[in-house]
Amino acid sequence: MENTIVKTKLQTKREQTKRFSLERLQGKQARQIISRIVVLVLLIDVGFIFLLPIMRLVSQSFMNIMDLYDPTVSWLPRRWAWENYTQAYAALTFWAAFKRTILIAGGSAVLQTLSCAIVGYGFARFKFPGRDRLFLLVLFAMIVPPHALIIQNFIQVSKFGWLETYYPFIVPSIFGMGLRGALFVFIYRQFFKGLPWELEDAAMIDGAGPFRIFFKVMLPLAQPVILVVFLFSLVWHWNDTLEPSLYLSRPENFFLPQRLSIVESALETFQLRGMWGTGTIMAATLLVILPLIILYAFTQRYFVTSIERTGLID
Amino acid sequence: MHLTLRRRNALNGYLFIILWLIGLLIFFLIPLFQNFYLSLTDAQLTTIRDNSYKMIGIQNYVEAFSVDIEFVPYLIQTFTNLITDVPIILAFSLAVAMLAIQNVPGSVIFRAIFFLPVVIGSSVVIGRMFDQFGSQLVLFRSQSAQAFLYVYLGNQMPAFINFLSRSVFVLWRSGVQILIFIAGLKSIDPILYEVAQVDGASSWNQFWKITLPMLSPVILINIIYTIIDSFTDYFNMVLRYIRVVTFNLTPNRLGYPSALGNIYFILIFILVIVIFIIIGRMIFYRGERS
Repeated sequence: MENTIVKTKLQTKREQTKRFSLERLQGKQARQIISRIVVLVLLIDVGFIFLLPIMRLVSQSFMNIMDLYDPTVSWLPRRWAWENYTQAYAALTFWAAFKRTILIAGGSAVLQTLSCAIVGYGFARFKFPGRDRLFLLVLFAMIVPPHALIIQNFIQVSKFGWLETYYPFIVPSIFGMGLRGALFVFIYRQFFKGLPWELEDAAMIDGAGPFRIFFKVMLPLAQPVILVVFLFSLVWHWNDTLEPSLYLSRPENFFLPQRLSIVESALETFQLRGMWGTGTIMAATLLVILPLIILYAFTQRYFVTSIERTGLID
Repeated sequence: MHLTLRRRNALNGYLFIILWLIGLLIFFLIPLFQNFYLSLTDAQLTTIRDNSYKMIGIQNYVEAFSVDIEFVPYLIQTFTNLITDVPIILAFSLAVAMLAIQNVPGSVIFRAIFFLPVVIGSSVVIGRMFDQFGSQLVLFRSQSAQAFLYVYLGNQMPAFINFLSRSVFVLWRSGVQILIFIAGLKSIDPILYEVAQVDGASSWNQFWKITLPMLSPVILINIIYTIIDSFTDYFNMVLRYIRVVTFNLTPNRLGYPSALGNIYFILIFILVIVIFIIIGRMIFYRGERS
């Protein structure tokens, strides 16, 4: 008798605790779901802020003057003005300028990716007198804005006879300098510093020299960094207008972003200032960044994950 | 020839960086020193060809601060912008990064979107986008919203809208920072959070006691990156002014803009060093062989 009472008491208590924990679990789940919804809403919000200018760009690039002035038209034009794109394409001389840009920007990006890797490896894995002081120079070069040296660079390039050629973009890349080269050296150095020393020790015991170790062991390991550096370098070279505007003055040598100003002045000569030319300028702007967007669409998956694996953050 | 291991190691190190050293000398150090020399002369585009310019000492530097009525205001504006921009960019990018690492559907897509500004255009293209829309970029395009704001803010409204559109512009420049923060957040060991949870720490406490200290090196990287980025920005007033002085004013003076550039980057340099000294002592490297 007593035994059964104890038993039932125990049972109810067990049930109570079970129910209690279940309730708590449900509460926890509910809170989790709510917090997820909040996060999602915030993410959509912020994502919208980021996308808004691009969406405007796309929408206005399809508008003619009537739609731009029409207050009832906000996003979708009444008539899709494809002629904006044909005009922009012609004024940019898109295909020729695109080939030039991809050749020079891509070429310097490839050279920079390799040369900066070599330098970064040298700084990360060898001890030599003056290394740390030289590395301070890397940091220093990172800080000095390229604008501070434009006068000297211009004088130098004209002394070399490189004006109106593409050497000023290619040659510094061979030496690991060039556009933000110091930053890339820094990134590579951080990555190589984080690798275990056993890699080199094992390869050295197998009789490999330092350059062989670098090309056969280290570079394959550095794939994620190589991808990041290459993409950054390509994008920055592509978007750079400072150096091209210094060294190139003939429109037939211009890179794509520089051709944008040609489009504007062309519209000006036809008295298409202000709103008249807006659609065409927007279309031209979109054409200039379109190759980058396509490239990014294909590589963004690797891009985002590989920045996390560069070991930059440690 | 027989070398000790240490000697051979050092030699190999030099071999790896020799090409860069040459490049540094030709494309960076020599221009830098010539720039300093030029800034002490009254050189102009016409006189530099036949070397007919002369030394005038620090007169260019004196002129920048005493005669030039535009340079110092631009300089002050750049620095005040920096003081407002850096905290906004850092707080915003940290918040977005913390949102983006949450396990919600489509987080990969959001990360891709946040990084888009970096890819699309550092300079010209963004310039086109923001020139066109100007202050109407954001939410306050509609008249009714502006009227509504005017009721509450009165004459402060334009300034307020200006601030909002400026902050959108600022947010658009935080792509790299967001990505660096995401990487930093992912590198924090989840065990730390589990331990804190067992001890009953709230998420608020976890953020201040774990996330922020563990992120401190990343925060330093981001601060430095943001500063350098905004100092070399396409829209930077000082750099624009230097270019105007060099190429658009006649006579095309070369000595004076060199001096301006030197003043500018020396100030950046001092600022970065100060920041490094104040918050730079927390960085820890693995894999250093002593």
